[in-house]
Amino acid sequence: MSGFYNRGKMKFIHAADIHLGNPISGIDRKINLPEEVKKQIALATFTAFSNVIKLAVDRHVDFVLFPGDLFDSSQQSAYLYNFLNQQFQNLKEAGIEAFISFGNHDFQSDVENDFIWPENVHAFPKSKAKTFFHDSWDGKRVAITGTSFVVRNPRESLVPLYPSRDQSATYQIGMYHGSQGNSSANNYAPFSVGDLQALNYDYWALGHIHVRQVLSKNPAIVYSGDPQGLDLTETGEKGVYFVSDENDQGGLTAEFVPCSSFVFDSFELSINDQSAISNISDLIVQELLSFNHKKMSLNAIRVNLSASLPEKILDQLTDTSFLDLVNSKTIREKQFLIKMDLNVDQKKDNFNQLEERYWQAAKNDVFDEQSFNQALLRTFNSNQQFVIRHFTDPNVQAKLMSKAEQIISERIS
Amino acid sequence: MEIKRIHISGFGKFSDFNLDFKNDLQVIYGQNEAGKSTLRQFITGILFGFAQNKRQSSNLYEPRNRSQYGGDLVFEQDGSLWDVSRLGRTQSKLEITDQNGNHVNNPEIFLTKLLSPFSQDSFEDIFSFDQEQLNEIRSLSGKELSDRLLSFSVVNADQWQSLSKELDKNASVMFGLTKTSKRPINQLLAEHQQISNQLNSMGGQLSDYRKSSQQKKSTLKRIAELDSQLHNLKKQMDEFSKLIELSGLFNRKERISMPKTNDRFSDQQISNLTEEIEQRVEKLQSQIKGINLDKSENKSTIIAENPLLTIYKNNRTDIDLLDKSIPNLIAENNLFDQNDNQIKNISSRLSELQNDLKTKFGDRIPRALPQGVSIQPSRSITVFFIIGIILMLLGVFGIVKGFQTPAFPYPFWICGAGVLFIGGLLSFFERPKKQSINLSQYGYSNQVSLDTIIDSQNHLQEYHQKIDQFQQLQNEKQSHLSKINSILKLANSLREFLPSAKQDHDALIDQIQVILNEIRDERQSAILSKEQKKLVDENRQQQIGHLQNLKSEQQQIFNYLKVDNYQNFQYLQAEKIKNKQRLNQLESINQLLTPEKENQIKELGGVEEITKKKQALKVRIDSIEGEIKQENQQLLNLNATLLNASSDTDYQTKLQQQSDLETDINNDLTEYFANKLAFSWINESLYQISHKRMPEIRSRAEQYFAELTENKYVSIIFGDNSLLVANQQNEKFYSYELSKGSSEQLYVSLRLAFAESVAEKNSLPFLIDDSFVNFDVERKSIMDNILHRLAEKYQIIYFTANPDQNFSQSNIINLGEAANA
Repeated sequence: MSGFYNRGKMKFIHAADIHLGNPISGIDRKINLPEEVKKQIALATFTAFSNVIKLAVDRHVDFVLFPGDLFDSSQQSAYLYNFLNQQFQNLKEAGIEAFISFGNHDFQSDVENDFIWPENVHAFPKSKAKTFFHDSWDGKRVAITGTSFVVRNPRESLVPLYPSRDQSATYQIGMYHGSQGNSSANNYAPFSVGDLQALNYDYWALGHIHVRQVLSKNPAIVYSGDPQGLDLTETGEKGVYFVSDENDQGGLTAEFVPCSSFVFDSFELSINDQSAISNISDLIVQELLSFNHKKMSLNAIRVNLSASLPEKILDQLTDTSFLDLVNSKTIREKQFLIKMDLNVDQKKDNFNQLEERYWQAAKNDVFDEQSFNQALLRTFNSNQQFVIRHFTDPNVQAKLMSKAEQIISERIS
Repeated sequence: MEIKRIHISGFGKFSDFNLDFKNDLQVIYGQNEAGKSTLRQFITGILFGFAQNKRQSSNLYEPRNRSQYGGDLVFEQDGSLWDVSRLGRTQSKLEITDQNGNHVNNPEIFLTKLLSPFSQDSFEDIFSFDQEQLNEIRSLSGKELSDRLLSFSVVNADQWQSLSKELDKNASVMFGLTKTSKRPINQLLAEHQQISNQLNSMGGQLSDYRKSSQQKKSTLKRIAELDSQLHNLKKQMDEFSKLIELSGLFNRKERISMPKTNDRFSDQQISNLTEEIEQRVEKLQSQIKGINLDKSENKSTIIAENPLLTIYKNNRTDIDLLDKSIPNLIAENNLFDQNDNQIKNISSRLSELQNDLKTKFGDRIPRALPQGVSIQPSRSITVFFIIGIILMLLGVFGIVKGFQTPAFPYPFWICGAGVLFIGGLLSFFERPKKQSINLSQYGYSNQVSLDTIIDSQNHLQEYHQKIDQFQQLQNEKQSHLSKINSILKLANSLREFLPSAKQDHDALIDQIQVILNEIRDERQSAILSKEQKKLVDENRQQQIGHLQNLKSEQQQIFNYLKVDNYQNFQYLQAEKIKNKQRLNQLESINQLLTPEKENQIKELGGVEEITKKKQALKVRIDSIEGEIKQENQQLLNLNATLLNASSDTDYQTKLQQQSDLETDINNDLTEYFANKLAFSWINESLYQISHKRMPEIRSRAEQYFAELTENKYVSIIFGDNSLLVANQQNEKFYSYELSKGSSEQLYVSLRLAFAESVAEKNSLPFLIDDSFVNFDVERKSIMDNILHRLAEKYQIIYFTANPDQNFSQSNIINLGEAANA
């Protein structure tokens, strides 16, 4: 049957935010993980990437899209350089093309000089959008348009650079790295869904947000998320989207395919019966093993206690040796605990009525964000950015406040 | 609120004890151990609950006797009277009844509400004054004193202050703010710095890798270039080599093409010498030669005649006869030999036999006895013969006896016959005999035994037989010998050719045969040669004529060729061949040495030049090969470097370690910050509380202080972190610069002023327990004045052990007396 709609399948993979070479955050050095687990963690992004490439080859896709943050320009090793080359070589041997646009982490790279990639790899230029054309295995012409960042965080939308839909192509795909919103301080290349829809493309492969989500269905405007979670905020299975037009009704459908080396997860446990504290480690182990993650997992747990515990026991539970104890029991299944927060439901009033309001006022003064941030900047130098970054996060500051309160209430009881 | 009265059912030393209180100043006088503190604790306990465990106070005031713990207290607030009853220390039962006797529901909550905003802590801190507190003030100094004074108005200030100190210590143990701090977190940060530095230096790794990649590319390129250069040079060298090879040919060609020095024969002559002519000449020559041979053969027929032939001619008849007799001679010789052999055999056997017989019979060997003769040896009379005779006689006798006994004759006859028989046999066989033969007749001596004789008969017979044979053979041999000799006589003429006569006949005969054959042959050939000679002569004549024809033909050809003779012809031939060879050589040279190549060699300046150029090329080739080797070595090194770098995950591992360390540091810093923030919070709260309250209290406190110091110090100044007082001269003094007494007074002033300001909104009775012990008399009376004034507005319950003149009797309860009542 001939005609405009071929009976074959055009298929590609949308793989954003690979962050190749990025270390995993949130694992305290004091935790005693086995060497091979540490190695797996250190090379997790590499494993995930090779899973993506393997998927592409196994499913014999037409091309793979990398809309930004493939790697970090400041962290490069010969290993990464060579690894990337080899993986692209694998794609080349399978006849698969790769399209890369550079985002906020990898925007510095100067493709021609820095990388010697095989000819199946195409990079988008800075300052302007470019359209590549690809003929799929089943004979359809696909146009792929994208652009790379010039600066680390472009304040304006880059959508105006994009041309309107190419009429000669069966499918027009757009690649865009950025976040939704208007031009405000924390947004990268901000865009709106409406702007994208107006260009009348068939599929928008987005990057930058690490949580996969579908912003719109028709046309598909999709974040694929990163294929490997990088810290405890990125819980759950991670992977890429496999997009094809095999759907009989026409149009493109996206199927999520997990590619991660391991997953992060977090959960809560409430203990109302104080006597259960003595075998809390077993309770936690039980909980960990019940999740059936099917691959290695690094977990954080929040334990809600109804009443306070003696200081000595609290110290034991908050020490990393407790994590080691739990992990020794789950090592075979590779379900590890890397963080435990104890939350004691305290109904007591720390402060007497007469002075309550003074304490609250003092609290607001002491926990003032600005002064705290300034103090941070005074104390830590530019090499210790990680400290400043961590403690200027409002969530972290809120946790600090409650921890300070907890310390006080522990002591005065 | 004012306390009206209390009823203690059991508390400390009191049981079933009642006390009424005045609304204003109520002095409770009691000696030591009268129960002042007990009362105070009771009041606090009823209002806020008894101490549950031994944590805070070691004295739980359990009643001495079995009275029920607790009691009740009646107070008035806002015009209403309330009776608060608390019984039992643990799990106390609280009951509140109003003035009508109605029980209140949820007494705890109700009581809290009534007493709010005060808790036990705030009540004690604000309204309760005791010596302990003052003593504590005395014990502080410097900043601590200043801080304590500053936070006079904070409930549980001392606990807060020690907690904040503890938290600050916790924090500073973890992390130091100075550059040289070596606290745990600082060390971790230093470690982090180290790792960052390491990563930075490892970051150069990538550019090194890229450089190495580039180098590899350019090295490969260089190698390819060198390879092609090498290829070209080798090609050129090949060409040169080929040219050099050809140069040999070149030189040869030059030589060959040079004009001939040997001009013996002209080219015309050579070309005239065709193959036909050559063949013809050769044929003629061989024919000529052939004929010559015949001639020489002729000469050789005359040779000396064989001497044998001469002898034959002289002794023809004898020798013919000899010839004919040869078979006979041979036969006779054979027979002679046979005989000889037989004789030899017999004589050897004979000597054997002779020896044997001689040993048996001595030198004279006897004759053999005739055949079929048996020798009966003689037998002499033997014993058995005699016995036989005797037996015969007995037998006869027996028979006779039988006859003599007719009655019973048979046994005698039988016995006699038997014996006779036996005897007869015996004597017959044993009868003496004479020798059957006369042995001496035959030559046997008597000494020889019969057995020996009998045994030797065979040998003797054989011996005599052989002797006869021997004789016969000898005769035969003799006859043969004579026949042989007679024949041999015929060969006398040939004696000089025969071996000596002493040789055996076989050799002789053979030689004779040989000679005879030779003679025969000689005769044959003599006859033949005569005939041949005739033929040869005829042939010769023919051949001479033929030869002349041949020679003349040959000479014609020679003339044509302009050579003199065959030898010259041969030289011409040789010259032709040489010429042909030369031409062949030139041709084969020209096949290889094409004109272009020839030109090339000439252009390059000849063979030597080419050789030099080739050597120069070789030098260049060697150096390029050396360079290629170097480049290849470099390529190997580069590959190894690249492989190492690309498989080295150290950077990634270190990056992860850095991240883990960052998490560690941040977690530790969280602890640090939490402690630090808590510390700051406490301090800030203390500060704010005291400073917020300060303005309210300052003027009142100043007043009290001025009163107590008798106007020595007239103003109090609240700094941010310090408390100052000023005298009338406006000289300022830090609070910790004051004397112990003065700081005590300052403390009391502040506390009183604060309590007063609080009491204005909500009041509880002031409980002053034996304070001001360190006050001197003036101070004391001033204090009492102040208390009087306060009592005008608030209930002051003043416990003291000192009988005080300043108070009116109506205000005084003597606890000792009351207790005993």
